[in-house]
Amino acid sequence: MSGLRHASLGLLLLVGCGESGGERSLAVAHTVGFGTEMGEVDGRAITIGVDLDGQDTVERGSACFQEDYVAPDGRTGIDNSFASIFSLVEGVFQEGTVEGIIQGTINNGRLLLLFEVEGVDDWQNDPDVEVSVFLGDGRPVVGPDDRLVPNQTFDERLEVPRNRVSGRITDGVLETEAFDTTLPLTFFNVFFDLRLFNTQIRATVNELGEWEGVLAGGMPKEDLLDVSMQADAMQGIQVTPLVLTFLPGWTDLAFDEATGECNQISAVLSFRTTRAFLFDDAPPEGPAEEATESL
Amino acid sequence: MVALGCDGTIGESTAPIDTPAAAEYVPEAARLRRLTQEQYLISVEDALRPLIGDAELRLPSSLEPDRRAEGLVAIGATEGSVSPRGVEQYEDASYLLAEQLVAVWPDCGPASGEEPVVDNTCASESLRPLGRTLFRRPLTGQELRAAVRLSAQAAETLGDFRAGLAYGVASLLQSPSFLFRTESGEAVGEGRSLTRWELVTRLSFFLWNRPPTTELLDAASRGDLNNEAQYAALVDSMLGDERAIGGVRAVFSDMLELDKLDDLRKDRGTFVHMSPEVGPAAREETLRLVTWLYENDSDYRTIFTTRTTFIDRTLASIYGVAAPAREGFAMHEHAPDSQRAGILGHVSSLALHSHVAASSATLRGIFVRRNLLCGEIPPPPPDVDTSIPEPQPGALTLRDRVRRHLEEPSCASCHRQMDPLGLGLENFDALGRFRTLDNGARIDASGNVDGEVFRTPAEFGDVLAESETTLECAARTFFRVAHGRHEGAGEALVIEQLVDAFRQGDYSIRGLMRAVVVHPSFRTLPAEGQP
Amino acid sequence: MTRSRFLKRRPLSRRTMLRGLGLGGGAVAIGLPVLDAMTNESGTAFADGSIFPQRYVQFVWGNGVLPWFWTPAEEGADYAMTEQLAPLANVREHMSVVTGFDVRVPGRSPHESAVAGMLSGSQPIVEGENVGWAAPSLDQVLAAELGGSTRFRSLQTSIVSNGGSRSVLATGETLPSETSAAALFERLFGEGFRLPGETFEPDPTLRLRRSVLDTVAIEQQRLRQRLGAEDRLRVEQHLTNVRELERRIARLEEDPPNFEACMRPAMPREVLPDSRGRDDLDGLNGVFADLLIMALACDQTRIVGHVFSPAVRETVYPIEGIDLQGVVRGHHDLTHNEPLDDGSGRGEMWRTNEIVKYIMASLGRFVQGFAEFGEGEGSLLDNTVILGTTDASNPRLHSLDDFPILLFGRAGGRLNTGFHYRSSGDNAARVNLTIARAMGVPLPSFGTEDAFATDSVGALEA
Repeated sequence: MSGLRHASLGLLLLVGCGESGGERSLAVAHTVGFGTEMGEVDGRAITIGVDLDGQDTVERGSACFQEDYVAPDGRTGIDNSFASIFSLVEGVFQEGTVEGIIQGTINNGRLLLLFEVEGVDDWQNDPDVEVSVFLGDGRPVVGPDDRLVPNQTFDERLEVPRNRVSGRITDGVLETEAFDTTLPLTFFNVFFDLRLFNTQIRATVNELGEWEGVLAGGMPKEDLLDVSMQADAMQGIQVTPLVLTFLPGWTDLAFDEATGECNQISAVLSFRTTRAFLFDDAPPEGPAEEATESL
Repeated sequence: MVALGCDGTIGESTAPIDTPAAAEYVPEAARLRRLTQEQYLISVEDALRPLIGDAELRLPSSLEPDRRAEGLVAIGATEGSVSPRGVEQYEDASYLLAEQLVAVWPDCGPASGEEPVVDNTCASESLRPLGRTLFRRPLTGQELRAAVRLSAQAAETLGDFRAGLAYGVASLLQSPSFLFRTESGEAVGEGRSLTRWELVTRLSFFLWNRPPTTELLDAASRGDLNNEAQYAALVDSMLGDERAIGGVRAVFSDMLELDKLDDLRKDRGTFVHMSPEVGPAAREETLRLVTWLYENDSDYRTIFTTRTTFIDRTLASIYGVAAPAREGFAMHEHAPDSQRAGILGHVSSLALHSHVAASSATLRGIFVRRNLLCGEIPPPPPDVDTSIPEPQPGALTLRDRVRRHLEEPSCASCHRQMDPLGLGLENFDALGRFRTLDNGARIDASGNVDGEVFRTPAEFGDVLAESETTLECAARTFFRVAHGRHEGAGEALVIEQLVDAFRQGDYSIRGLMRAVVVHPSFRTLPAEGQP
Repeated sequence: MTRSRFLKRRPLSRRTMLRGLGLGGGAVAIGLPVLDAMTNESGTAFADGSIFPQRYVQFVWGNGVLPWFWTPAEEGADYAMTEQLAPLANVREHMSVVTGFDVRVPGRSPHESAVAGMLSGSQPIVEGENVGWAAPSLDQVLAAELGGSTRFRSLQTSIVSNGGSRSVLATGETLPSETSAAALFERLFGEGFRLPGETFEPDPTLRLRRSVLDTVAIEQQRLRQRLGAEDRLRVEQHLTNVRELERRIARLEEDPPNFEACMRPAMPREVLPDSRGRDDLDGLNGVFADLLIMALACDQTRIVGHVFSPAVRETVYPIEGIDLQGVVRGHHDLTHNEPLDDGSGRGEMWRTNEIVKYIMASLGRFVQGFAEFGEGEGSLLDNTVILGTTDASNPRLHSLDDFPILLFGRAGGRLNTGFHYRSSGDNAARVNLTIARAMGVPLPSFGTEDAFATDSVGALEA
């Protein structure tokens, strides 16, 4: 089925309209990072992200206290608890290390984060578009700027289900409804599934596949512990004790009335993309994962 | 003034073919032709492969470079000699190959360490057929004796029959009779013709770009090539053979200068897609297209108009389309309304005739004028400032910036031969990516081919396909590659007849190749005493 | 910035070497001269009284200079270095800046006419892209006279794959360049090369290879009889080159010349392009200089035709900040399309100027390698002439007048250095004649037609 869907992809892009009406565009993230703290304005810290819980938490007394951020464009209520954790991680490693590791993961084909928008009638304002987020597979070509070169063709990692969600474009900015997603990632040589609940995408988009934005959601706190323990084991470091100490202060989503605690940490992945394509037939025999793992 | 060279005639090659003087056919002499690098490698592979079976054959990596003269490598091969460095390279190559060969060949003769080390019968029986393959004719008694004597001398010195035989083999591989193709001919009646061996060699290199097989040599030996019907049948079977792809690739590679793509240089800061793979991939695209057209017996003119092409992942990313295959090349169909049509939309044409980061209407114009229309353009005269003004408001696009080329009479006499062509490809940047804007201003890619107007790159291809000059140029180019020289004034009639045959064959590439080799001029040389 | 790795050391004296080896150095193969004394007391002559051989190196770069940044205002020894000459300050004492000479051939073929005129005193014969010259280049004139006693009559090198060659035979044919340092190393110092005094084990295959070549030569003679006049010349040239190779092999069978400074150099390092695909020209220049210096020091050849960069082919120099209109440009493109004055106050065509300065800095380091390489009591440069020139004076106009000419080295004391000499429009072929005569080749004239010269330039001669 997906083979058929992709068969006409190249043509559709050129002709500019699909069978469901509207244009379709596929993009691959050439840069992925974690939203970090970017300074302060009027005493409020700035970071990228979206308002996941629908409230601008500024005071104690909220169910899960974690002061919300302000976005660079002035939007309030930005949930990004992970921004403060990330500062800690950066402290353990050298600055830029995480960035470099993520870039390496993208460039060797283990993190090909694909975004597809379908049914676009107007790339500036369209109240009804369909968005998918999924993972690609392939051997990417990297340019002299250490980024994936545009217009590459990949396979879809069919063993990882697509996340489909509807969205709207307002003044060139795409926002999606919330969805739950699992992204199988490899960081620090650790394979893990990054689960994000109530995830939203917010990004500037265009027909050239040059998008820039965030993917924000709630990460279960046990996942964070799991990652930190694996990282400790792999890297010979001692992050977990720190995480355990600070965890109660970091959780800010999924309030559990029974325990009075929050179970998730808001986290924001930033991304920038370039246009990509999918091969118009099914990937070759054999699980794609093995192919990448053998690299 | 040199600049005036563009007025009126456009060089001897396009002399009008219907003048009374041209009606008389005067053949021209042929020159000694050195094997191109590719022909050398194919020749040794063809000669050695059947003898060594599945064993690995390491081919030499550096040989005397090819040169291009009067627009073609096929003509460059008839000029120049072998340089001191080239003699060394051919010598090195001969021992590299000979040593691999004697490791598994021949079946006769004493084994290593076995006495006596000299076996002239075995050496002779081995070198005779090898020599025939390499020299593309039987060895003379003198030649065979010399090679056998060398083998024996070396065997005695080295105490090993096979090690000695390597020197005999090496002498054949360094011989001028292998490295060069002679086309001296022999007297036939009052005139002069290629010998049967020269003819079968010219035929084989033109149709296949490889030396004649044993079967072809046998046919030549029997005299089949002197019988019109047998010759025609042989030509048809050769054109139907898959090896004909080699000939088609060679003629188009030469015509479109695709050999230069090995050295394609672009600024990677401007073009992130640039890599050492781009040039060779671009060549392969164009060659796959002409191969496909040949195999389908398609109309030659399609090369200017078709939306079908063959690309790999690298080219797909430059063209901004989905790659048709994970590995290697596969067919791709550009959208019907795409401006990328025919070879003028290939990276091979667009990137080769551009600067490292900026496109060039002049370079592209020269390419179309010279290579596709067989026109001549003299170089710019000395002491002329050829700078192109900076983009500025009102003159942002290249078209506006080179306007002076067509307004000042001294520039215009030549530039009107190239700019109206080259500007028609401005929708493609210096790597060949499609664009609609240049410095933010909308590109006007209209132009004309000697008065025939087009508005877009795709229409440019249509105009070329409809042009008589294009067809005549194809006939001239095929003739030049086959003969290793430009057609002479006394051969205008030949070109005219080739064009006629081309037309009657519905412009099939195969038909044109056939016409060139069945035309009597293919084997005719000037009679003794003629210039 | 990558620094080139030139050979900086002066070779140890024999005595020092013996001391350094101590007593147990039997296993260490060192190039120990076999003769008792190689040079006389003054170090300027062989034991037999002959002086060190004279060498000639042609260093050609592409796309000219900018005359307004090039020509010094003052003449004589006390001239002030101009902006483009300043990068040559390190070799100023070894250099003659020669200006004001005109290349007297018709400028029919941009870039080609000037370099043909400068190096051969004749005009190019252009047929399509194939270029021959009507007369041989100076290096080949000298090779014909001086190249016979060395293994290689001359060497052609270019540091870039598309550099081409400016060495043209009397037949009009251009000799191809070696563009791979590894291949050049292999050719010079690979199989068959022996250091002076190195144990000699006769190699029977050398004689066999000569027999094969002899057979080939006989065949060539048979073949030439069946050919027309032009083809006959081509086969004769091939025959000459086959005989050349025979001679080269014969040289390998003899004891190598006893040159104290000769050592087997290290395998050249690989010089990679930068991330934007630009060649590290200066790095390549250094690698080639090392090999060429040792080729001359080991008397493998005495004549070198070296191309630093090609004309026209768009070489992109690894210099930051010289983009034009936000676009990277090749050197040739810039010479034509850079605005004369872009209002930046950096001078006319300052981008092109930066490239010329880069080339001159590379030339400076090239020459410095020769100057620092000891030979006898002096340096290799003392017994060498290096001619530095190009294919246009003002490349924008492809002009042939007031041509850029640099001479380095003293040719065994026959040439003066360390000054600026300015002619008032004299024939540039006189400079070639001067070089040839300084090299001990008493040519009666150099150049053809308008470029015909019979007088050398006295001011350059010591």
